[in-house]
Amino acid sequence: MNRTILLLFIFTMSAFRMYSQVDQKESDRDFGATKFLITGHTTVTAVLDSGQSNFSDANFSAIFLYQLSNKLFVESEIEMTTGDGVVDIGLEHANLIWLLNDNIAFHAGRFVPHFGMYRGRLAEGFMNRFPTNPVGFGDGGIGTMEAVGFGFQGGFALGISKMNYDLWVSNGPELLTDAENAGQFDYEAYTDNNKNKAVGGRIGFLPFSNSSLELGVSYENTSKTENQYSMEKSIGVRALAIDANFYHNIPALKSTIRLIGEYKKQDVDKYDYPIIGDPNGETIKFNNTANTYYALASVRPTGSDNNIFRNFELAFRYSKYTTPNGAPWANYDENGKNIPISQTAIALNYWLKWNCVAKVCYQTQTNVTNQVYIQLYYGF
Amino acid sequence: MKNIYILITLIFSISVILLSSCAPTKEIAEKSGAQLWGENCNRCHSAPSQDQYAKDQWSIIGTHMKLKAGITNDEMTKIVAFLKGQ
Repeated sequence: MNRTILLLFIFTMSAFRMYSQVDQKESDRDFGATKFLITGHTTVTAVLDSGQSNFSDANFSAIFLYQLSNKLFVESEIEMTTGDGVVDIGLEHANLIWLLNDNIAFHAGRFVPHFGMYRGRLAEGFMNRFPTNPVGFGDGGIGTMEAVGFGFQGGFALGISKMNYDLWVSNGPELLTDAENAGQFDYEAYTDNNKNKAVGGRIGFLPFSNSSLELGVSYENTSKTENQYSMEKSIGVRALAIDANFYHNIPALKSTIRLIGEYKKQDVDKYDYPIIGDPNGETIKFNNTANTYYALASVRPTGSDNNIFRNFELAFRYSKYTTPNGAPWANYDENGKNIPISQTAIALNYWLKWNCVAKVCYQTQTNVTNQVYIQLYYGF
Repeated sequence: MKNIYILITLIFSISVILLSSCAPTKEIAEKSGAQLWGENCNRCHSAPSQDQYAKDQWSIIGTHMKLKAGITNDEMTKIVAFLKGQ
């Protein structure tokens, strides 16, 4: 692993030297011209079903953007949420970026990896057409969420097409071994629980000259996820994501349609999780593989002459999460049979501004009462 | 397993250097900032109008979006110039 890190560092230095002459000129011109911007968003959500009608959640996030020079950039986000009944303040990310050249940016810190397109990008409230996450894409789902480490990212033209990439080395997920969550992972830990590192990346490809379609594939491997001293063997996890995002303006309908989909799969090494305190020494054992996907379609009459009508958007989403059979946190029916969690949601949104939206959503989900969500999201 | 990591890293590194030397076609290179603004912003969200941020702030937003959405440097430069009204 150390050799991998060394190679990445050498690669960085080599790439930087290739463009050092250009960088020097730009640096001389602009260094010291620090620019600063606070953006962010605030959200309030209400949930209505047969048993409740509550304002369930009010969140506020401030995103601090510092441009220290043409080459140095800092991104940080502080999020305050109330979903669990108390005010929870968290550092979502604090990422230091060094733009080595036009095509390569080195970054280090706490960041949101582009593992798939949903978590790395489309989960933001003014890009997510729904007030909820697809099943398997939120907390307790598949794949990395936040990471602490470093990486390289960038984008470049390929004839009429484009590519972008994000490659990272991070602390990686932490395996949970308690009886309730055995085999799941903590993806948001601030510190590492072992010496091992996760290696992952995403490559995106935009084949059309108008950038209307983006296809992506992501992969992350962590060969050891448990506490450094807690187990005899290494429990590794491998996660894969495939994503697609397409939009198109249809003049005949005076509308913009959007089609989005993503598939994710996770495979964890076998392990017998001990049940602490069990007098018979029982263990929890199961084949820990899971997968999830979602598909989304939306239509908005962006070409309508009516100023009110063109701000409406209708969206439909279906998602399905297949949890591991035998896992204590998996989904079972009344007969104890493991069944996938499926979710269907339909939303009618009204765009108050390009980044401010009111959402009304009806959602059905396996083993959950049908619910209506009302959400107001303001970006700033 | 370590050898696989190193191999992937090397292949990826060489690929990035080689691929990033590929030039866009003339048609792509001649696109205006306004056209790129419409095409790239709408990939994920509605395109913001020029009056949403001050000129200096658009430079910061441009770098942020370059990192967030993987747009190319040439696209970012043109889009920011358009949003600044230049």
